[in-house]
Amino acid sequence: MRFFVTVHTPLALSLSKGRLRLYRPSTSLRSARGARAVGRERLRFFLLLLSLFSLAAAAAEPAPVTDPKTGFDFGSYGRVGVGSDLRGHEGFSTNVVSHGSRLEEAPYLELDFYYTGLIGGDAQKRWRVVLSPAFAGGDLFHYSGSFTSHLALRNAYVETQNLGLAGLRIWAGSRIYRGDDLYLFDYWPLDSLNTVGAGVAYTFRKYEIAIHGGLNRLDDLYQYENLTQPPRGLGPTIQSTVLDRPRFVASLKLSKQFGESPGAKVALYSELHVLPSGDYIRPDNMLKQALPGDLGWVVGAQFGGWLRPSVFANLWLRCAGGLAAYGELTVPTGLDPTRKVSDAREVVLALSGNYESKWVGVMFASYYRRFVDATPGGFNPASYHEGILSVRPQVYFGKYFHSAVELSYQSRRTDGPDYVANRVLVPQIFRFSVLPLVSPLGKGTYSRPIIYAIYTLSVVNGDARIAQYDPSDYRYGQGVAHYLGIGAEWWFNSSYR
Amino acid sequence: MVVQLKLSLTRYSVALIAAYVLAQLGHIPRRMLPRFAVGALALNATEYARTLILLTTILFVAACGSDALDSGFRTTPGQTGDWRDEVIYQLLVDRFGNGDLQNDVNVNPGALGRFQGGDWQGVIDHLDYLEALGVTTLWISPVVRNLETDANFDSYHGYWQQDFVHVNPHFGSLSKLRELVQTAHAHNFKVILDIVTNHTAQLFYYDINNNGVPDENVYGAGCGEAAPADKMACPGGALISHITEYDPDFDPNGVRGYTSLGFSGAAPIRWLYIPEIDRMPTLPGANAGQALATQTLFQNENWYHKKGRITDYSIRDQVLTGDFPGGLKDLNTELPEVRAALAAVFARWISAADFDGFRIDTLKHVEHEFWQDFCPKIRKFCAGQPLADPTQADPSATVPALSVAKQKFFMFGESFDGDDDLDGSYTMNQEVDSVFFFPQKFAVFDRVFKHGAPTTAIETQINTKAVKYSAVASSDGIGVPATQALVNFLDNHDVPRFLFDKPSLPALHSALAYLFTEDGIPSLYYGTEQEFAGGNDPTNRERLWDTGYRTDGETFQFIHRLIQIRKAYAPLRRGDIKVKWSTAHVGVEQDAGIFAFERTAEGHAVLVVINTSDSQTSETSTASSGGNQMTTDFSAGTELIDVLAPSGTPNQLTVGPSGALTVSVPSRGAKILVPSRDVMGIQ
Repeated sequence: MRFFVTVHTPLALSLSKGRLRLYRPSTSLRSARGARAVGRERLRFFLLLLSLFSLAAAAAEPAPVTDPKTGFDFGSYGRVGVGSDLRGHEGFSTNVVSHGSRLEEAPYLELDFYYTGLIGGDAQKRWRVVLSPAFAGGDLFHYSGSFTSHLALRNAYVETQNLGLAGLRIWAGSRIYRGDDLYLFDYWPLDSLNTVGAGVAYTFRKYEIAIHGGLNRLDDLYQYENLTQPPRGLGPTIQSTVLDRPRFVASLKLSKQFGESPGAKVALYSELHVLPSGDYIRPDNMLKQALPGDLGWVVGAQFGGWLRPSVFANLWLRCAGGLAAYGELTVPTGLDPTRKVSDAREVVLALSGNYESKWVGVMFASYYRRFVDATPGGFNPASYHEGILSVRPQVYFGKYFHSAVELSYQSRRTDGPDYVANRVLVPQIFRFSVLPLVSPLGKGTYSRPIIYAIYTLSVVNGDARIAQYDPSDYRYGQGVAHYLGIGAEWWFNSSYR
Repeated sequence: MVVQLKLSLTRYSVALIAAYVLAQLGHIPRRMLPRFAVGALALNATEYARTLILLTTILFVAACGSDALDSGFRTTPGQTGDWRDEVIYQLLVDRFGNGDLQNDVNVNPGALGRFQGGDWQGVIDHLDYLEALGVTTLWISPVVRNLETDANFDSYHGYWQQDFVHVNPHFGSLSKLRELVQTAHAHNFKVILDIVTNHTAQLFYYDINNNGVPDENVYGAGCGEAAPADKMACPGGALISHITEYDPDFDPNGVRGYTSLGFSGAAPIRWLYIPEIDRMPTLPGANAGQALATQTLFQNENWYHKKGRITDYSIRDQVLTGDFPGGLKDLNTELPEVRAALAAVFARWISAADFDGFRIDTLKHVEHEFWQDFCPKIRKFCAGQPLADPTQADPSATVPALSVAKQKFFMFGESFDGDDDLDGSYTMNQEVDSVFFFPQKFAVFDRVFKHGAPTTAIETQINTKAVKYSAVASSDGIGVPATQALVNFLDNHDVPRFLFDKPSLPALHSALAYLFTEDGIPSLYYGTEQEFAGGNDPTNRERLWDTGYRTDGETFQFIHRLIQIRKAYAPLRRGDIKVKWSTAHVGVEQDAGIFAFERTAEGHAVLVVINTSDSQTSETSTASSGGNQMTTDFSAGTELIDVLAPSGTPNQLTVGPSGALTVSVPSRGAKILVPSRDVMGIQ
């Protein structure tokens, strides 16, 4: 049995059989969202689900351990590339949507360290520690000459498997916690959380329920304020913590797989964000300002199907409101007059897929996203529609030498006029990329590592340039942009689980 | 587990005695004693440990103190003395003695505009020096927390208050302040606290152009035209003016917003937030539980007049409602809530450290009605009544009544003005008990003793005093009227030292002779005894420790002698004053520079004759030019002894018929003549 969660590959596989009938909320429940009575009914629904899973679990067989290895292990994801715009500048990425083509993304590296052990000598029961330092930002010493890096610890958690109950996983720590992605856009459209918390996942037959809760507290006056105050006596100033309000984020994911190969899956997903109230002191005038408590929510679903592991398609729908519309690691860009973000919304409809044959592979992905900022008013330039469509066919010239072509179109339309142009902008970009590549592990659009050369031609309309660049920026005048470069990407034994 | 009885009893005794002592000293409430007793008797190990912990905690608190004001600190029973018996010694804490090197933070040795390191421990350490000098009352510079530094000058003086209720850590802790007062009281010194009710430090600015930052701007289009009605007035008719938003010029309508387009309404004030130097909103600025909230108490902008800096001291409105130059923001003392808060915060200092009086800064910059409210409140508080405290969260909170009433709490103010009418007005109507005698400083010590003006000016000043100052003691005040209790001084921290203007020790000594023999209360500025000669601020604020606290100097010994004489002879302290000789002569006349007066009390009299002439020996007579000789109130044949004369020098005179007496005094000399029957031995 395998998780439905993948990170760097969208292949979500489930091999067991089974069916799940989900309890459907009543019509009144759906229409009276937010009411207290509805909350109680939802709780009952949730408890009922838990009960059903518990009953089923009692009859479940022990889940086989995915990875039989114990001891130290290592994995990694990484990408490194460099290019030129053929006009004497560093090559640059051309995107106007929130999640555009990943081809010219800045270098990024994750180093995954694992240590796995058995519990009580039972090969079915394991524990493991996962540590994943990550370097981001493209600050390669050999490029910048600067001996500094942006280093973050993306994973630092402990997990147990099958301890106490077959199919049960318990974890706690700091973790990237997410599901399937749109590889072409480096985008997780439904469930993608960065959390410090804990979770429980239980898999039986072909069902899975995963619950998680965690906290985050961004280093921003929205959630945290540390003021310097005069010394108590003589000596250094002291620090005063005025505001400290971590956001609680909880998620629940229910999954069901149908069939083996071919097969299908359905996942229902929800998040709850709770931000307590607090006070902060405006640094400019030291006036105390109340920050009310706030909420966020996500509901969404994923539908996937596959003919075989390399031929699949996924469809996602995500609806988010309040805090969750901005994401868990983002400070809201706009507040309503009560300093809340209740009216913020995000709707995402995304599609991705992959096809493989002996000589050709094709990746495709697309999403539409509607984002509504919490700031009142119908002409808010922070609210927008955006979408992108991309296809990447890849031809295999033998086992190791391939060539891919990526075609994409993307556009965004804001609700309000641009601050510079004084009109609503509709940035649009058409991109065409060619990637001759070497794949040491053979064929497959997801076969990694790869070493590639890349040329991208981007047709960037005027609105896209106005929206993104100051007139003094050399890119402002480039209606046609080039990128010629080389790169490499790899993943192996990555910490997707 | 049971501890040994012998050990327990021993420690019990020690603990109980210590607790009793602490209670007597006021460090802990007496009601705690029974708990000590019960706790210490316990033989159970837990209770025993609890007792020791409690005692240790209390001892630690007593040793370390805290900076919070609380009530009940008393070192002496209620004050009962006559303030005319006192000799005040004004000291700047930062300059008097450096007893604690731990608080030498941001000290810049030798740069007198910056902190030098003096502290309350330094005062404690050198009380013997002051005892040797003979002064009896210590007037210490303000104790409250200040804005640290402003325009590259430090608040070593203490007058830039930012926090009314906490001590300035440069000088020590509250417990150290208490120790100072306690130790001083034990050495029979009284201690006077310097307070400021008129203003706070430069803690906010006027955002005249409303751009949210403090600017220094030049307005106007040059000179040569009359100012348009809608444009900012320019000094001297000039149409260009330089305005700093920290300290803009006085505007009777309140500082107004202004840009090149004209006025734009009241300029908002904006507090500054620089915690490194305590440039923070004034405290207390919030009730308990509302820490950091603004817009309350002393952070309420309505508590300030907001009219800008005084530019013309002849305009009463400016003096009363303008900011003190340097950007010291003027409190709106007309408001009842401001009055109540100021009375409460300063009453708490009386309670916290057992002070014996207030020296009140910038008296004339606050309206009479304030003092008619403030002074009676303080007197009633000292008499044992609680005082409403609006700085506390509880609306019914009070500054608790003193456990022992404090009588004759002395309040005297600084009305820095040569106008007797103005200065005297503050002694009327139950306002302050006394004021600094600035008119005398200007008219007598400066004009006569420094610059050789006729001594008739002294007589004029004495006569003026009798009618311009209150002749009625305030209710619950010090028991004597202002006319008898004016605070006399040669110089202070705000004016050049005597020797700066007149670099002559004989001249200084003649002035000192008058200071310590005239009626009123003498106030000696620290360092005078060491012959300091600094000019204007800050050079007149020298470090005393550079002198090594020598007590064998000529001036030190002369002052010591004068004080001993004043202490020995009641007429010099409490007697009426009657001028016996003054003269308009300042040249070579027989009596040039002579001034003589009698002090009489309870049937005893002392005759003082001073020669202010720099050039000649003069006499109390003009007989050589056909005039008269001085007539005293002594009976003929009375033998007078000059108790000031150095031993071994002629010091005896005999009163002639009808009290006639010619006293010859060398240039810049002085004689203190006491009937031989009253002469006492003086150390």
